[in-house]
Amino acid sequence: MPTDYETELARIDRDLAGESTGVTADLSPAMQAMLHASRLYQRASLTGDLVALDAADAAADAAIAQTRVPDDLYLLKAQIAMKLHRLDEVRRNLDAVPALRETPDGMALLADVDFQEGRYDEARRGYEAAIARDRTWDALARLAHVAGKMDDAAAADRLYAEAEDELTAKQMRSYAWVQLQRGTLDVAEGRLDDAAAHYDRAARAYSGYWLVDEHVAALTAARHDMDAAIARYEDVVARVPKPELKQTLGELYAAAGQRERAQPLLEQAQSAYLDSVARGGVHYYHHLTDLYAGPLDAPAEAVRWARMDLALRRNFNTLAALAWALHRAGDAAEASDTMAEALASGVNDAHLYAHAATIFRAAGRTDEGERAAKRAGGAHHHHGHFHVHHH
Amino acid sequence: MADHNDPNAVNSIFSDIDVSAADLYDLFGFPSADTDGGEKVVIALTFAAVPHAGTFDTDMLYRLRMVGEPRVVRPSKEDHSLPALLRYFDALKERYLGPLAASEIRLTVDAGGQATVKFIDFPGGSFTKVVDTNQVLTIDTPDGHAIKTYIGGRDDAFFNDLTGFFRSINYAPQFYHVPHTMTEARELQIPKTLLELEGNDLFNYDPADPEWGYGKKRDLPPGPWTWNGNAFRKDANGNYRFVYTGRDCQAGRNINCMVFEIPLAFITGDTQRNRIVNTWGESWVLKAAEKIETIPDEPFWLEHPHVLIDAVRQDEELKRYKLVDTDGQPFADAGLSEREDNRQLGANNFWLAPHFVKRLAHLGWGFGPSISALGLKTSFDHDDSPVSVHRTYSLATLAFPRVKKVLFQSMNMPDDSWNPKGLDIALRRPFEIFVPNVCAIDMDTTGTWPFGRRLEDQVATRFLSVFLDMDAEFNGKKYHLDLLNDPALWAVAPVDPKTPPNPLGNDKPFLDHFPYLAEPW
Repeated sequence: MPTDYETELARIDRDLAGESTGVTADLSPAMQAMLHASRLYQRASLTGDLVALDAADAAADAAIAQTRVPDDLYLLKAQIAMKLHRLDEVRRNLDAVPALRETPDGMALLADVDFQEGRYDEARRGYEAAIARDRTWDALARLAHVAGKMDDAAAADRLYAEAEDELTAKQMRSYAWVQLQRGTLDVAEGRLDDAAAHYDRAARAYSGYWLVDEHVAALTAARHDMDAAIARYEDVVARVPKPELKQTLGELYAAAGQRERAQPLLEQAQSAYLDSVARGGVHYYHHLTDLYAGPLDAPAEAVRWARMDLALRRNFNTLAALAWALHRAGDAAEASDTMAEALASGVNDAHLYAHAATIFRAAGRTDEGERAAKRAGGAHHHHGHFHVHHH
Repeated sequence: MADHNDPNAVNSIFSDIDVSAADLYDLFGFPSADTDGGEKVVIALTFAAVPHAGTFDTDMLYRLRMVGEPRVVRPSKEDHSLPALLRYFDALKERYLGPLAASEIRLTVDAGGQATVKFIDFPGGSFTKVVDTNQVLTIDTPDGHAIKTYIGGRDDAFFNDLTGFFRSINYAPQFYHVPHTMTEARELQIPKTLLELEGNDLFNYDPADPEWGYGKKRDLPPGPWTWNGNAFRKDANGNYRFVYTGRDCQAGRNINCMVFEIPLAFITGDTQRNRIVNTWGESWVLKAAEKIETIPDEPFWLEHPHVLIDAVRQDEELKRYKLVDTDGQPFADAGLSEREDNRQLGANNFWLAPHFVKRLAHLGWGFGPSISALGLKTSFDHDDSPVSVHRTYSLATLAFPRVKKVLFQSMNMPDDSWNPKGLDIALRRPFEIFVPNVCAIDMDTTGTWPFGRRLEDQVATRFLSVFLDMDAEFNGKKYHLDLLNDPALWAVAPVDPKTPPNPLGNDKPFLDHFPYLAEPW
């Protein structure tokens, strides 16, 4: 019996192949072009294939050329640009049809940009305005994400629960996604069993979803069951060969002392990231930073990519990534100043505080180091254990 | 969201709007002709045949709510002012949101086609029965009543030119692919009208493309989507072009439904006093969180179907669902609430009262001049405008004088057949009909609209008649709510096509016996 994921993917593929038996046969060429672009976007999003987003973007451009009312297409392009970290393009696409900025979807996207560019209060207000206009589960989830980063896990979980309550039996994939977010909050708080319960619910809600399996694999790693974690990641990578998943699996191999298995995967990830950059992509800058600051042990390269990412979006994440790269490169002074700027945002992230503690101590800023260590510990962060970024 | 993890990533903004099992279509209610063993009322709630006619969506829960009440005796002298109207709505609000407790029939259907029917808070108590779908059957109640029941697929009992209605209100999504983001491109800012407007190419009938709007859509042209003309369109013979065609857009379509023939004594303990059965329907969809919980469907009830149910447990069941749609009066939502989802309030639509006045005035500026152009008298005060006008109101106080007669005039019936007992029953008036949004079945009438709603009622056309001046006469007879259904009127009207707006009958004959709706196609 096909899984929910397989069923949905097959439906999208049937649509893309023009095999739909629905209303699309009667559609005008312009409408068909719009739907084609949209289906490409759906497929890329569902499979996590960021490279395929470029094809969706090109299809949207082709559709725009065929229609006299391209509003939805510019919104689609803005969504694609957001996923690819092309923040200027998000704004540019929304500006193409100024009315889009006033729609709940447009408002949420602009708030996403604010968040990515470090304007956290503006982001929060933007999400709240979008919710006031149209109380959708995804706007609530976005607000929950801000709360999780800037407030505390309990506030975020309450908002995720509100988002969850908006979802019906016809939106089980979205429900699974919210469960994953709630589980991720639990992991950060050290409540691994609670996280497992959320992940289990996600798996039952929407079967066969690699995103769920990836979270379960990360949780397994957090439980220090490295062999099982590796097995789970191997399974996910076999089904969804995303470079960022290969990087994670490579790091797991390395942590388990299996360098010979780690290296090819890390090199494959590196190659995919660099290919993307060569095509003009910017969304793998932070992955390159991680890769070079970590398993590939090339701190100078990490600093280079981190600075490029920071130039695009100055937020606590990119600041912290640069700080860690600088620390790894031996520039303790700039590393600690940069981390201080990241923390000044008010972010509440245990992993980030753990790095901050290391950086401050190395720079001789002992008091700040101790305070950061306390924040990291207080948030139940398992510093020293394997940490997985969810991509 | 950071790093490729946005919540709504996969969903398409171009999703075709799927027909949903939550889409309620119609609510019918009328006294049964079968009075053996006591009076009975027939109530039928119809909804989209999803996934198929006769097969139900197992994530859905449907409610038929009902309450018996006395007929309101109209005072001899009334105050026809806006404050008085708002006081009337407030009084209703107190009643519906206060102590009034409606009984309900609640339906869910499992994957095997077994329907769980819960009768809740009736005078004789509450009980549950599990029955087959697509079967006419009888449910015996604990207090000795027999309720005829049908839960399954049937022919769609609604017959109307829906496209004509949408053309009359310039509703773009019926004719164009309207972008998801363009919420302003629904009802375009063009006068509502019953007659085509000269140069209104966005909506006027195209003889070269007769299926346009009847399933076929065009790409929306660039704006502005307005109309700058000053006259109704006329053909070479000097006739206006009717926006309606009389075509039955529901022909050949099926629905799913729940139909009951219920003894009045089961609904109310005082059948002599409570002659009105107010009823409305609701659709609810299971919450996502509940979909993955394995809660058995009350096995205790299956074993003991007549056991009384704790009302608290029922509310717990409802907490697992979300309200999606309501249905009481035809056109109460589509015509008067601008099809906005957040106005799907069912009986509790009192807060719409000021909006209701403003919306009626907006419609009146469109339909009123159209009626006048046809040589008929209108109840709407449009200052003798020679053509329909697009006008909106921000204040009910400004709109009210225009619609005062529309709201307060009695809706004449075509003859006395609606009142077979010849009782002193006041004719209904629009403000009473649409607020609250319930089907108010008068058990001393035939239940024809607006004294209920019979299957054969052409309610789409009757709705338009609220804009006719019921004091005027046609062929020596007072205007009435079936006047626009009269082919004789259209035969002499300066209009083409010479047809009543909507079909006069269903595409498939109704049955003269339960469940009354025709077999599915």
